[in-house]
Amino acid sequence: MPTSAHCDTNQNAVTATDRRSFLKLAAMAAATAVATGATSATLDAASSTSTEGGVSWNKAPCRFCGTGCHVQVGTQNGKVVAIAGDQLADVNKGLLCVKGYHVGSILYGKDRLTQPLLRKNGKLKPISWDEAVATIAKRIHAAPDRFAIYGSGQWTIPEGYVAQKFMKGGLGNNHIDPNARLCMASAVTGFIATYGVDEPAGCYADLDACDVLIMWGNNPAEMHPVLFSRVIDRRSRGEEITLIDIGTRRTRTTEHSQKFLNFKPHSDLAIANGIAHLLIANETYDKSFVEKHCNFRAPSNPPSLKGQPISFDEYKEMVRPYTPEYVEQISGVPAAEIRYLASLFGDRKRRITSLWCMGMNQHTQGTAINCLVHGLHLLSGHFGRPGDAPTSLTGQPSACGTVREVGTLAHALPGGRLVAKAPHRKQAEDYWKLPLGRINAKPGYHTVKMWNQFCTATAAGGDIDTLWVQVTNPGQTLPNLHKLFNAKAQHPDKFLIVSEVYPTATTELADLVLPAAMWVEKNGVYGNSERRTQQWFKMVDPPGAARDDCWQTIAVAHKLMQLGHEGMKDRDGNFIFRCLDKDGKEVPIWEWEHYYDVNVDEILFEEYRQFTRLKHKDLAPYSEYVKTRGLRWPVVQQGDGSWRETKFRFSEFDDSYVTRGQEFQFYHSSTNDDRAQIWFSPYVDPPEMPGGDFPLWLATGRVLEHWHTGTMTRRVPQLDRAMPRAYAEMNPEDAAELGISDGDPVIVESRRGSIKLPAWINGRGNPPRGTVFVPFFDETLLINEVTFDAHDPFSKQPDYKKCAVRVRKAVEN
Amino acid sequence: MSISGIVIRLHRDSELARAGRAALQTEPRIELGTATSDRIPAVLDTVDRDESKRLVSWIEELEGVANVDVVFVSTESDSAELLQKRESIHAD
Repeated sequence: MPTSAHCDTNQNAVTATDRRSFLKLAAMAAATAVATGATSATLDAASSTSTEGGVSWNKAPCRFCGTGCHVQVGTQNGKVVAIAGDQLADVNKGLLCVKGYHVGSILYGKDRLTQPLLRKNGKLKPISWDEAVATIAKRIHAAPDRFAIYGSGQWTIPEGYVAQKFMKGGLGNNHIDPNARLCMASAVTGFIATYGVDEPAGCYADLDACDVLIMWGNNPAEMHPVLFSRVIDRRSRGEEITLIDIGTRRTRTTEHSQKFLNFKPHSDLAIANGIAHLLIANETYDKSFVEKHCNFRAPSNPPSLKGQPISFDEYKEMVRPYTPEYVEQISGVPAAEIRYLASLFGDRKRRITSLWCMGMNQHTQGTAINCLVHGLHLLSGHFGRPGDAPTSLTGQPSACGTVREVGTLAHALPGGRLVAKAPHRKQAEDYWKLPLGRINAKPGYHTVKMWNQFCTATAAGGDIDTLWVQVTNPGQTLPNLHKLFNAKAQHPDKFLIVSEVYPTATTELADLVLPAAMWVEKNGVYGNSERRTQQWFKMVDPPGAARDDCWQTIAVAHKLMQLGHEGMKDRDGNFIFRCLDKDGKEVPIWEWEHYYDVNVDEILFEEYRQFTRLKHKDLAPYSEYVKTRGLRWPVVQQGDGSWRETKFRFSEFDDSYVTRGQEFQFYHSSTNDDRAQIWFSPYVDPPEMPGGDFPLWLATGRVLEHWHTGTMTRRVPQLDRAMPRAYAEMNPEDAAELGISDGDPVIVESRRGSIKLPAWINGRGNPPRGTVFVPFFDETLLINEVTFDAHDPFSKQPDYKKCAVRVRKAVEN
Repeated sequence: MSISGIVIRLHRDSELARAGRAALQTEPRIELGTATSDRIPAVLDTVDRDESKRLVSWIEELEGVANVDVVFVSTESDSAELLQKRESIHAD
């Protein structure tokens, strides 16, 4: 893949001095965060909007990860000039990580896309917005069922909602799926299989109350650093808190942990089963909690998220083989450590929080391991009290808000509804005022299937021929890129549309590129990892002709209506995205000049809000979010008219939907009896394991300096210089056997592809023998040309953490 | 190269605390941040992690220091030569 102009500029910019400066900055930020006690202090109130010294300040959630820190954005003369942590934000209380401090710079890379570009004779040429919108509308109109949208957990809630309504309510086409399929879909299926409804019951306050924090394949010290600071802050104040890192490689989180349990890739299921076995064998499980609030489930045939019911005795028999010694044999974790973990879970006086993210989700048994960890908390009664919580984290700022809640997945409708359920379709058709029967009952293509169909010749059954990508970079993040993305180049009849802010690996193959506004260049609403919905206003104009993604979708929808597509009209014959001003007059929001005549975000949000009550994910009016740094749903109106958020779902002391006297109530139970499900799932081998010609495990992941594919952070000079290129982190003994020295160029090769990159012996992670780690942020070194597209049977989430590779020293000319 | 972020809690006795702070200021490998009450954020810049650990031990033993927490650790061991070597691969 070619390198962007920006990256060429920085190709040789790294120096040890840059690196040292970056690390010192990060170290001082972390130390100051703890020393000032900002994570637990009561802070003076400050105005959320103010002007001082010519700089206007306003609030916005950070653009990067799913933590949902709020920043204060300083603007002057139409430009973002300063960023500060927002002291009124409950999530971060004024703190930011090193990426957060630089978030303002992501707007100002020199290679921002500023005009629509259409590929003509192999080259992207500038065209007008009118031509771009008409081109898309004509392709869709010609074959609406062969069109798909690939979206994002970085979509704002209104952007995702518009795309969802356009596809499912307008075109009657369910081929819409987000990149979040690649990062947290297994968490969704785990929550639904266990509680009957998605998203964590607890919140970040659990981190302030737990005695034990278990991180399952999770590295919050680098990936969610502000959350991790909350924990380290407690320790520095003299509180006893035990950190346990269960991982396949060492990370910065390991450095802070009392225990590092190094397990063999994929064997986490055995560890969880081993703990469950001991809880029962030692009779240290919470009998009362289990009898009152839980059922037991095992995999069914055919497989389903409801599974088959089993008795406690059957469950006991199923986990019986998982003795500590057997688990040690599978996982490599000493039997004594399995007993230690079981002793922690068996002690009800301690409060235990489990955290996980990609390690458990990017897993061909992702749903199963999610269910097993929930099951440990339920079995041991470590649930529902502050500090007792199984909690998944997300990597994108609105993976929860836009993907899981708006339901921009191929099988879903807003508010936890499913396209396959007739009552759910009817509810959506009524909210949207659509003719009954408009919504298709058949789920669309999930991400891997969608891209496979797009990259397969039409004559060979590839039935997606136009694909619109918004706010994501699949040319870098899809697994097995040669098959699922690069193959597009062989099919000239296929048409790829990409709405983007910078040139990326995805725009390299795009037929039409649409320049997009980003972050505070537009209004927005995000939903973070702890059910917190967060709003912000546009603060600066986007560059050139860049425009909001939301507007782009609405403009194409309106053009389709002009072309005669009946789906773009509701049952009264009005445009499906009709917006009225305060006098009841329709505003032509499909014309960019009028898009901000009304607050389209607010109108869409209020429409969407109707959907949120079915699954008790109630949202407050838009105006309430303007006043706050976010509210955690369900947000329930009180007798005095105020709106109250919920920190701990299903717990009587905090959740107003729990019936008085129940203590705990899983009111969306899949068994309709207010009980959660404790699952058994056996350990099974992964579909590809090292051996023969491919003797090493490959894991991929992120680095502190860059956010995901680096599209934004590589435009921030300080971050780019600190980590300019990808590398292959190797074990010293493996490297020695292969004759590889630190810094040598090596070839990492799988059955699917290979890349050349420098070896870093030990690197940051000190990988165990037989394992290699490569980060995926570098668009010039696409490790996903090597990874595997095998995925979890329920969540359809691919496994980026495990495939078989070989490594050899590259022969230099 | 090893970079660490630490939080130093000074002794409650103000005289001892003052002496502790003065001792810290004499050590060039320690960069002190802005103190809040009895706690000072600091960065240690050392050749390697062993040296960093020895420096933390030295701080802990200062009479005016009550406690030291390590809150950030750079886990890599790099050199300018290695960085240069890595980069040269891409310059091919």
